Amino acid sequence: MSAPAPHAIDRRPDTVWWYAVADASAAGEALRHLGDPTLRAVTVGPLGLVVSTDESAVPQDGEIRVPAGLGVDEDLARAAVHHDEVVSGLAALVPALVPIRFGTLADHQGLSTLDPATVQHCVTLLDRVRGCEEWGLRLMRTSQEPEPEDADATSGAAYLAAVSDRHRARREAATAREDLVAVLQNTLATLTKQVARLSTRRPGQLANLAYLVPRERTPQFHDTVRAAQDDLRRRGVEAVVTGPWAPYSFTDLGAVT
Amino acid sequence: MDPSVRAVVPRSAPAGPARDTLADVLERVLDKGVVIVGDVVVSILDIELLTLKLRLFISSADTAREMGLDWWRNDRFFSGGGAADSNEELEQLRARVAELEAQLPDGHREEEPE
Repeated sequence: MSAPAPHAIDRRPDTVWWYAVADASAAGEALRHLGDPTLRAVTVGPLGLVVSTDESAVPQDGEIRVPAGLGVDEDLARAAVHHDEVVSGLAALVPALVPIRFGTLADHQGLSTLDPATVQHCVTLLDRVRGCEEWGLRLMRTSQEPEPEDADATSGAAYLAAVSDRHRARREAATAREDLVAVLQNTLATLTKQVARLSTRRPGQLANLAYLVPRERTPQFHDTVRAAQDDLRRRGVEAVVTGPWAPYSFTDLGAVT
Repeated sequence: MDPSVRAVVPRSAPAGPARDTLADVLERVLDKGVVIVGDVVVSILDIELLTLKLRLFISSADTAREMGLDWWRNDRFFSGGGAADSNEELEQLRARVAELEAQLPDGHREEEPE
């Protein structure tokens, strides 16, 4: 094994990384397709808990470019990307998947005897996301709207009128922009099963949302955003869609220990 | 594969430029925070403090609060509270200067700029 994994903590030999929960009936087959020998499924009632017993599975070499200002060190980024590769790979192969919070270590013996309440919670979450995928939508300000022409401020009255016009134009532009964004969000909400707000903030960000979209409605989801793009751009707003993601934003089990 | 450039192969046509960058991946994976409870806490305390701070910082604010970890709210570096404090301090200083100026005899006060 190479350098210790970034989150290599004093681990007991029976500690495993816990990546996700799937239906027991689907987990084994998905792992066979994924072909990662470090992964295994622990069956607990109706659940297949996907774990890794080998932390060296987190690649320790290879360059990774972490954007400046992200506040994340390279080791952590590498481990997070690996986590997402495992989770996303599984999500593409099973009808429903509950990603487990990044960095969750579990006692192998403890997993086998998972308490009934947690099992039931997992079953509920699997049913919630079954047949769905997560899509992200970020709405970003791209530019300030053009300022109205200054009036010929030859007098105090003309100057005040020009200032007043500018303020009114700004208010109207902001209202029009907010209306457009609200209409888009409301329309998408009717197409999707659930909406979540992500906690990340970026400069100029108006909204950062995650949608749980039934797969059969994915084309409508994209058509709706596409149809709004031109109006949004005219108002200085860019819509950025990312995905599909495993349903990270809709399946928080909390900090399982 | 360069891990900073995750393959973008949407299963259906995206509405726009689907940017699945490293920042997007980190946002998704870390939004709920890094697990830092249970046995892990005991061990993680052995890790140098700065690393611990950075790792907590990237966990979401809500998650940190859930766990009772809100030291960063009082940390000017992370909370950005320094600016607000500075403004308040500036106002207090301005008020104090005005008060002292009022006590000066005429002719010794600094004229307000036009």
